[in-house]
Amino acid sequence: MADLPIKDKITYAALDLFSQKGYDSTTVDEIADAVGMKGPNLYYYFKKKEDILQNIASIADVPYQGMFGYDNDAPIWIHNGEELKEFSWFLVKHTMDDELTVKLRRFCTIEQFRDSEVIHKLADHQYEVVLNLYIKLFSDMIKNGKAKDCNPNALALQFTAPISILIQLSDRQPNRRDEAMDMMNKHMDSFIDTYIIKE
Amino acid sequence: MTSMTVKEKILHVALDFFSQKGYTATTLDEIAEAAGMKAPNIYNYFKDKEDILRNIHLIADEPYQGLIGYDQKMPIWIHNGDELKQYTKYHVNHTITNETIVKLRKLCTIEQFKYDELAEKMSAHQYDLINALYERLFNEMIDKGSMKPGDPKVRALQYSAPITLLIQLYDRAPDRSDEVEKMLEDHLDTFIEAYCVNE
Repeated sequence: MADLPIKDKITYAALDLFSQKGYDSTTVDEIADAVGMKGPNLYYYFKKKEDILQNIASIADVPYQGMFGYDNDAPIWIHNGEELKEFSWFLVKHTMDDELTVKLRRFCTIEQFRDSEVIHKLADHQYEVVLNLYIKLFSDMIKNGKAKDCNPNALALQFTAPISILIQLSDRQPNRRDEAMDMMNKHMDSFIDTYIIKE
Repeated sequence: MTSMTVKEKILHVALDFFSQKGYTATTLDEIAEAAGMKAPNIYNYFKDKEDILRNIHLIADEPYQGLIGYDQKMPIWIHNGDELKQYTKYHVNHTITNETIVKLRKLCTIEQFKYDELAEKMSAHQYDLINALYERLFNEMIDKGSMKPGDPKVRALQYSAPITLLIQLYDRAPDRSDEVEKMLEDHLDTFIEAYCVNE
């Protein structure tokens, strides 16, 4: 964090507070305090609290950058159920444990009904980035005869939704994390058994 | 509304405010006024604002009563994919149009990380109850040969999670209702094709 531009430092600190206490309950002074500056100095970087939201949107992609599969032009090398499972567990662990991803998810969850275009876009983005990745993945697998010839959009939703719902369960009730992980594993096996063609 | 107790009336009024402006921004005075009483009188029924929030669940189960399937003792008459689809669409329609349910869902979404009671409520409705219902249903269908064999618990999650996720999307972006409806239709058709046995 030390070598981040001050603007980004402020943004990360703001996201930290917003995701814990909510946007309304967080004051500009608290954000300034968290980065070790006086409240009025923060106005030098952001004129109002709302402007920090804009900057949160710009750091939202950081955790995904360089990640296997998130670059739309890069091919995804998944040929069978084993590889699908391995890739998906890698994504799940990242989604559940990466600090920035966790904070962004919590922030979008608690603020999603706010009348803010920035937050709506951010929430849509989080949902679409994974779904689109799997639509592309299953389209390729169907084309190559590795998955059953079904609607790839429906397959992507059926694969990702149980995982999303289980991550939500674990976020909300951390004492149910093991149960959620166990169900994810069973879900992936069952999905592969139904839709992925055995070699 | 006339048969409501004063306590219930306060809860309904509070839910209106909480789901619209959020829990933090709502004052006890506003709730009292909208419930048609003087502010100090509200203390005869609830200790403070948080006490109201913690008791919201008292009115939460009411809109689900009489909804087919929620009563564990009631038999569910579903024999094939068509009936499954019809039942689910009826259920989804109830969930997205019943005002009390929509308000509760929004309130729980916003405040789930602050109050254990609301986290439990949310998990019950978006995970435990809904999955128990479909698990029981699929168990019967597998038994009677109208569904392919498999773990009914995992299959219930695979069926319900995409639906729950699409309802969340609809809550956040009602302007995308056409897209949500199309995705729901694709999911139900793909699932039924994969798992239901034609008579």
